[in-house]
Amino acid sequence: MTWRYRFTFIAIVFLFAVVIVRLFYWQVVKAQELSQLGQLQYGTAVTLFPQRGEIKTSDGFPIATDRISYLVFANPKEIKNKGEAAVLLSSALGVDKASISAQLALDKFWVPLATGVESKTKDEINNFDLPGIGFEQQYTRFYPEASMAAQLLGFVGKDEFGNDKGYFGLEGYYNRLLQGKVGTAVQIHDAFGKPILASISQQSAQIDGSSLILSINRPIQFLVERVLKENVEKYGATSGMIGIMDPKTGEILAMASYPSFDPRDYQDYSETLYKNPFITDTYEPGSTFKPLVMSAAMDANLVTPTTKCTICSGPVPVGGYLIHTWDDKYFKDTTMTEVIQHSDNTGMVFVAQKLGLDRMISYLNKFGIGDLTGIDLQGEVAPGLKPKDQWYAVDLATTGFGQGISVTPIELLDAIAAIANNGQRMEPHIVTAVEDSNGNLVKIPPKIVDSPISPETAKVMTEIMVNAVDKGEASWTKLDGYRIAGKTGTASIPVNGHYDPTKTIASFVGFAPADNPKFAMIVVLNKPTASIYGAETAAPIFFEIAKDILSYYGIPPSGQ
Amino acid sequence: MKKPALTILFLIFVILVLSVVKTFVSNRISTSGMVLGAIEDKISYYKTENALLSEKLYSMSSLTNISNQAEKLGFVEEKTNFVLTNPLPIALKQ
Repeated sequence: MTWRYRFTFIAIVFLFAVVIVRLFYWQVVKAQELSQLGQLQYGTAVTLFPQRGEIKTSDGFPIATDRISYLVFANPKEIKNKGEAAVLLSSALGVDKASISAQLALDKFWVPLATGVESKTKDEINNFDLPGIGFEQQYTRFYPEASMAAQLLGFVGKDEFGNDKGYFGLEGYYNRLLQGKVGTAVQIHDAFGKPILASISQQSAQIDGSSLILSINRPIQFLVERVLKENVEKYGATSGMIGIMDPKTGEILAMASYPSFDPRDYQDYSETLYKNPFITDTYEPGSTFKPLVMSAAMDANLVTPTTKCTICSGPVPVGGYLIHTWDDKYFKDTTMTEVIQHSDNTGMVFVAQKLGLDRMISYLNKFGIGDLTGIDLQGEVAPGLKPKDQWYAVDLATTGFGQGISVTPIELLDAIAAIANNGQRMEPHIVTAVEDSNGNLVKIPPKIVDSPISPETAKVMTEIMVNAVDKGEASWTKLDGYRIAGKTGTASIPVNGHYDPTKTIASFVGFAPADNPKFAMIVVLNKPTASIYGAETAAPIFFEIAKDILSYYGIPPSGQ
Repeated sequence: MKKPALTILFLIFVILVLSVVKTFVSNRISTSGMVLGAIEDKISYYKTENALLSEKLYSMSSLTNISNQAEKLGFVEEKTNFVLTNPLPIALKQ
């Protein structure tokens, strides 16, 4: 009999073990899956999409926000007269009838018909009273100011999973902040499908995206874009850029490029227009670079405004090349003030040679030339300075007048703004504050990057630049009654190893009012055909905009 | 023996009262889901309405729209630049 007891005992233990293993499988291994299955029987799992943050100008106006739109879908099995439905839907949605018919012909319970449909169109479709047509609310990016600051904003497209993602500009650079965090929840229903009390069990709440508050001044941005477009067409240029900065804080007040694109229909434009040329395109700055080299030499106590140029009576031979002035006019014993006033290349060769290679590189580094400025936009490039051992005598000489060296417009604007800001170079930035979904505001303070020149040198250089505006090539277009510091630039474009004399980059850089600058501005026109000179193209644009900005800020003429 | 009997009776009474209260409250709130659903629908409606009105407001107050409207109404930009300099004396002594 003993073996029978043993057999029964082992059999019972074995059966218990099987039950325990099975329980472990359901309770531990499959626990989460079963839990979700159970939840689905009395509720629905809902994905909570966060609202993307807004991008606001300095006046709090959103230039990029979310708008409610709808996904229109159909249940083909419920639609009886598919032909009539296809005609009505295609006319309302503006979609090809054949494509709607093809979708409705599918043997499915759910087919998408169109996305991003406006509320007005949704109401129109509702009035058709078609069975089997439904709507799902969603958000799409909305730009109340249309294409304003498009290259600054970037655009919102889709990532590989079909989720919204920002590309280029601020949408790209601040994508993580703007997009927020997706949440999930379970909506519990009663037998009639109505939600019951304490119905939503939030498994993880969504976090709406933070909003960006920009330093961009909307009226100034609007003005700049309009003037730029008009003048690119007027002067027959291939493109143009304008940037305006507050030299005291580094805040960008306006930044515009033309041609641009419309972020609402970005896919209709060439990809080359997506990037912001103000931070991604490099060019040889030409004479607009002269104030930097001149102020460096003055800061190093190598020249003064009255120092006479001893090599300016004719073309200057350097390293086997003969360097001319832009108009082949030469001024013997010209002073440094006059060198900037006449935009004298030989005078700048004199200054560059006095400065020497080591000091030249050192000052250029302090002015931020060759480095990223650190602006909070996606895609900034910095061409970098050549290694010291690759500089020849002629490179030093041509750098004096801004040829043979490449910069981005933002680099040059930031460097010139340092002269306007008593020699202190600020980090340029667009975003002044970030506001989270609870309304908490985090301000981004201005940042001093370097002090390339002393306040005294900056003051003297400002006077030299004011003199250049009052008596230089662009004096015909200057604003009467205002003291404005500036410098024209007409840079040849290198093509296949030589400079094409008929194609130039015309530019003007300056700041106003000279005594207490409210803004620094750079205007760059690419290959203008009406005139190749900066004094005849970029300068009038600068002063046209400056006039309106001074009026906008309520700064009266000084009467001088 | 009387005291435990009273206690048991009291407890049974409490249980009965609580059961009645529970039944009453459950009965009262059993249809709250519908009310809640209606409230949630209303919230959703107002949120949508608010978003649509905001969109309309932004569109209408955009500088692009204001500029277009102004142009349609015939507003043109004043191009003349007036500069006030130091006034000259009425009679110059020469």
